[in-house]
Amino acid sequence: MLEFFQQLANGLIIGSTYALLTIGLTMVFGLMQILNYAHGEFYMLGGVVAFWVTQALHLNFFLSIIVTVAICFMLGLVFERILMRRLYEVPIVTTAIVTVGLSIFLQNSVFMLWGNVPRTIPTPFPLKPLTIGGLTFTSLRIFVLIVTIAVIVFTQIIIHRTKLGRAMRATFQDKDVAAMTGISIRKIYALTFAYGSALAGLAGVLCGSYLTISPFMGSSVTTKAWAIAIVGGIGNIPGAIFGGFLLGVVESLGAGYLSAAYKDAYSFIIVILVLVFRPNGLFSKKEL
Amino acid sequence: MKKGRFLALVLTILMLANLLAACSGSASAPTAPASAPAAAPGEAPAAAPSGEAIKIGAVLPLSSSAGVSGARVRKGMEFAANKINAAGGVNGSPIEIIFEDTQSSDPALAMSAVEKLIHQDKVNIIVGCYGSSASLAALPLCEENGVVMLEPIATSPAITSGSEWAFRISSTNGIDAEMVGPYLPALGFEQVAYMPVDNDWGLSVTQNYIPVLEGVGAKTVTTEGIIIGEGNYLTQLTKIKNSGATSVIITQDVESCSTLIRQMVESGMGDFKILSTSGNNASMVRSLIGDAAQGVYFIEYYAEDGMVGGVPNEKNKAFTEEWNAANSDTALDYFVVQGVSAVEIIAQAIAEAGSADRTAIRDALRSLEYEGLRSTIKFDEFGQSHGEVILTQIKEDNSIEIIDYKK
Repeated sequence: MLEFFQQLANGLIIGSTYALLTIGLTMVFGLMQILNYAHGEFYMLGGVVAFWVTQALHLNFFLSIIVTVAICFMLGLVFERILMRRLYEVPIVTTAIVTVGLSIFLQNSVFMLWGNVPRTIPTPFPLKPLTIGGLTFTSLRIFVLIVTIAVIVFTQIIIHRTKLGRAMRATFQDKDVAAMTGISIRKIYALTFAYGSALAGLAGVLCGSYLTISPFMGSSVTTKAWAIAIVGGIGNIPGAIFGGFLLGVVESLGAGYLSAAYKDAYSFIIVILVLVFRPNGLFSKKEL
Repeated sequence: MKKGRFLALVLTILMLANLLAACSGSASAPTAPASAPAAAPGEAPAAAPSGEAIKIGAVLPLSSSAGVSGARVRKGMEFAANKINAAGGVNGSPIEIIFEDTQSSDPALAMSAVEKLIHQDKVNIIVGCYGSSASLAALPLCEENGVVMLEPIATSPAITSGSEWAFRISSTNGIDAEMVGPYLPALGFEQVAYMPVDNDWGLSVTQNYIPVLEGVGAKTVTTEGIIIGEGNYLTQLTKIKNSGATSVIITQDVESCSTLIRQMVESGMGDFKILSTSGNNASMVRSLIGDAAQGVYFIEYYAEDGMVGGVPNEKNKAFTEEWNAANSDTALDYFVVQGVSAVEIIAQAIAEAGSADRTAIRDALRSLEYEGLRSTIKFDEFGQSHGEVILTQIKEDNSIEIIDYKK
């Protein structure tokens, strides 16, 4: 029984980072109709930037998280300005192709500049695990879980309780009408893309602190985030959160009790089931 | 119109960038004899090689996480080729190496790379393909076309099990298991869980280690396969922790192996005995995860400079100094040594045969005896060489100690 709860807890911790990753992806699609295949590369950039910040600027882990998220937000603004902004009126397939190109470009740029030697971000947390009620955790993973949940709550507050969030929701429902009421669609788009990139970057720092960082770490993550977005209903934030935790737990229990060799397959079995029985996702109503 | 032009520009730039990046990966750039960094200063330069270039095809993982070690093999090969070319080449001909990238040692990429090297570049010999699955997939192509495949790294015994075109300068998991296996129960490997990567490499480890270890009384508790590139192993580790195993034998690339060891410590499995089989070296894992790697055993094949208890070798000492002077960023380790050895062996075979003909190289390799940086390399009737196998351990002061050394 203890093993079951341990696997469940492992799944929830992994699921929280999945949720964090997918929120950005699903927001960008829901609001801007952009299929962002370069989302995983912002995750990678988060890890790379955080490593650089801790090594070159000698910032501690906590400061490096803040600096990295800020840099990823700025990078999001820059790419929105020079690339995405040109794509709002073109067919969705064109934007998808451009983001695939952007993804390859970012991967290989980092590869050329930085090499592919894997690295990890140093953290002040001890390696030794804590035992709580028979379950084993590291303080680092608990920290990751807390930060992730805090950011998810923060995102919900922005969207539902602030003026900016109201403008976002209005743009989401009908951008033409929103524009007529005086909302600057461009500004909303830029902020959404930058916020999505910052969330991906945050996931990159957090995961890079207990996994390894390399220029190609983003590609598998993009696939997973898409799977979660589809399960939750593309463009639906509560769906992304639920989907992230669901996939984390299913993977963990599936690998724990069936076979670990098919760990990735479990996510895709869920995707197929959702597509067959609820083609619009579990949360089919589009909502931010 | 303006938007259309801009898009065309963006796409062109992205495609160019992609192309550039692809080139940096599978650079078909021949090692230029002119820029030989290995020529000792002060020495009169030897006559520039003038004959037709000897083409060596190299199929290695150069990007992705396996690419870290693949790039070290490449560095070693380039270093050796530059040195040989600066000294006048082989029989008056310069060596040219054409590198092809297999990313994460992908068998499909290895096959198309070998196809290209044989038919388009018309190479005389192929060095590769680094990964067991990649090599096993590409070997039939080499056989069909009568080109030698000289294997520098892969350890699946199946590669040298009957093909007259396969030669290998790395060990096999069969040899390793027989050499190291009998010592493992005394080191605490009695209740063993295996964590092999899910391909021919991992499979050959379990196939060869389990019978040897069970023969000396160790019990196989469980086997948990790992998919390449997976980062989160807590699920498998939780299972192993509750299985009754007290030791783990890992077969993974450096990145995955390091993450796995760290997650074992994080899961409260710090008192487990850990052995990393072929594919890693202690120094690289230590540089990645530091203290978490303390106590871990490694099967290695080259006693690096700085290891405690290493066997001093005068030739290695001179070469290590030469290497360090030219390559401050890459330490001389097993992967580099394998690259150097591969090129030197090919050069020696061609010099002895007096011809760079594909079949002549094969026949020369049969009777070749190469005094390498490791032990003397000679190929048996299956093309397999038998070098030394070293068991190392990372100690509590983070030094790497050689526990056992077998020739």
